[in-house]
Amino acid sequence: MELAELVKACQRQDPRAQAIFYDRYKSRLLGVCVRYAKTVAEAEDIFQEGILRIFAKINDIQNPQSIDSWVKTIMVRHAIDYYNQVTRKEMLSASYEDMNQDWGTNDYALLIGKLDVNLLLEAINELPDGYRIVINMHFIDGYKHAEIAEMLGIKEVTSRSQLLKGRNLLIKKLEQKGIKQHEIF
Amino acid sequence: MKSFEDELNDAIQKVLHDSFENFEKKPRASIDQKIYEALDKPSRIGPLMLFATAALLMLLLGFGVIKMVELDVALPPITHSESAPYTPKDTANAATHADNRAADAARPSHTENKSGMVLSDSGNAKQLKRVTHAKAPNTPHKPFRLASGKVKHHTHTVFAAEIPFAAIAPAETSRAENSLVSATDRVHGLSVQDQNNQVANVSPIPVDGLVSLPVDLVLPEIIDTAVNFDSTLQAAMPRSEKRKLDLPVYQPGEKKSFAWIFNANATNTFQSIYLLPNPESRILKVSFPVSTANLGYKFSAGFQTLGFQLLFNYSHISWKAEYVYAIDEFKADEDAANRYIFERLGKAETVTSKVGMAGIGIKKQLDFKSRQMGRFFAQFGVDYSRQMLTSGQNFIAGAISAGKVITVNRATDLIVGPYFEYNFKKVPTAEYRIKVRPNQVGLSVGLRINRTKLAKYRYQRSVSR
Repeated sequence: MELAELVKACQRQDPRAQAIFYDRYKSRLLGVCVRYAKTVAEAEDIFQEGILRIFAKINDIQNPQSIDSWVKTIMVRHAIDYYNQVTRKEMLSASYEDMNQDWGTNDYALLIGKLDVNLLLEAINELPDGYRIVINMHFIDGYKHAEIAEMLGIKEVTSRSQLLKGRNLLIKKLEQKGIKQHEIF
Repeated sequence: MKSFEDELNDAIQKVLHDSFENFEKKPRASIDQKIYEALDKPSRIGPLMLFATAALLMLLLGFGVIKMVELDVALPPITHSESAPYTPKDTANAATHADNRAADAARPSHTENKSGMVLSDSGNAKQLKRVTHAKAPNTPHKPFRLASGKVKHHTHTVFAAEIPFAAIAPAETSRAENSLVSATDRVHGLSVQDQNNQVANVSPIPVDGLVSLPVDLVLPEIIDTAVNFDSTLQAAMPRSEKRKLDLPVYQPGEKKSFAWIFNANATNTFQSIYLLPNPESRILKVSFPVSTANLGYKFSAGFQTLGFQLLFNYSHISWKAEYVYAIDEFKADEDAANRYIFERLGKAETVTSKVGMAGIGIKKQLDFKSRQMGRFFAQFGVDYSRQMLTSGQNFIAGAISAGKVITVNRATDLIVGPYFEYNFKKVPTAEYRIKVRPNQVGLSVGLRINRTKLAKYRYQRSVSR
């Protein structure tokens, strides 16, 4: 079944098409949720609600060819909504000291490059909600600071600030996970 | 030239993006199950639409209840019949019946005959006249003896009515008899017209060789139009009865009449299935099992004016079909001619579709009346409904129904009859490349509360006061 055909069938609420659609996107979307969530349990909650939200809003899509980016956007927005509802205060009030690391040139790349994806994910999940979301949105999903500011309802400056702090904290977390500078060199 | 910070960001972005761009995590089986269950659940109704429909139905139902309450308040007790102009006389006669039955034993002998006389006025006059014609010429005195005997033994009032006592009794006793009736009725506390006035209007009918038979011609219900009361003519003329076919007659409603309408329909869906052109179709067989899954319901509320009904509907229909899908297995059977007949095997799958929808309908109702069978109705119209989902399907159906109109009270009719609905639109189903026309057949039960009749009744009541 072609993608456009599949989307149209889902718009008609064809259960078979919905099942195919779900099977097509479930792993990718749960991967998104895992990045944005603090725990796997939270990720699964976000995933379940987000999937149903996708099926509820699937009639809004005008161009079925852009469905890949559309479903991801819906899921990201739902994850943001989830944390806006659940941990909004924590997200905005999280205050970490600027952790200016004294990195030598190219050391950071070597450090992160050596990490396993799961270890990296673990470090991201340990970040406070605000940092984690901004890092996910900017570094992984490619949103610009203006878009992040609009989606999160914050100032662009705040987005940049959160990203900087989150990045430094992430590096520190990685260091705490046993990646020592002397191992890098 | 990029700063160190920018370079650091770019490097981290590259690493994270490369690591997580295609990052996937397979959900647990339990999560899959939950999602499938959620998708298989009945259609998710938009809360706004649900609220709007519920509010509308409640509003209309509220109006109906208010009207019903007003109706109950306005209607008099069922025994109070002030609308019929000659009812008081009936009441008087009925009281006389009861009185005669109860007080026969204590009644003096000279008044027993009078009871027979009064009974003759009470709706059995028709029998009286016939008996009079048959017996009076030959046995003028025998009836009197029969009257005495039967009344004394508390025989049924019909016997008393058959007694042509009036034919024998002196004319002047009539006045006294009627006075007695009035007195008797007063004892029982019933309102009775003064019979004396009516005696003055009685037309004496000559009977062969007998005294005049006083017949109160003002009683319309005891007048048999098919019979001439003139016994002399009656004897010569054979009794002729005009028999007409009792065909229902169309009764156009009043154009300005307004009524509230409330209907409930129990429906059963029967479907026509359309397989759309598709080279990949693997359906070998379709069947429609008889099941409770085909049952549904429909509620309507609205009003009738200018001879048309405007109804707001909420309905829930479901239908079930069994499809046999071809699988890649064949069975080869050898026939008598040493040839093999190949049959493709299939796998059966049952699909149940459920649709909740709300909509609007316009109908024309025709009322018929038959003398023997009462009131009937026939109804036809068009319904438009939309599935209660954000991406719901549209349904356009033609509906017809017919049945019996039962009068509940002065302004309320109960309408009961079979109901049929034909869907003009084929609707997509859970099965891909299959469309269905879900038609409905069922039973409709409805209430029609006629506001115009109620208003007229109130007006008449106020005038009578």
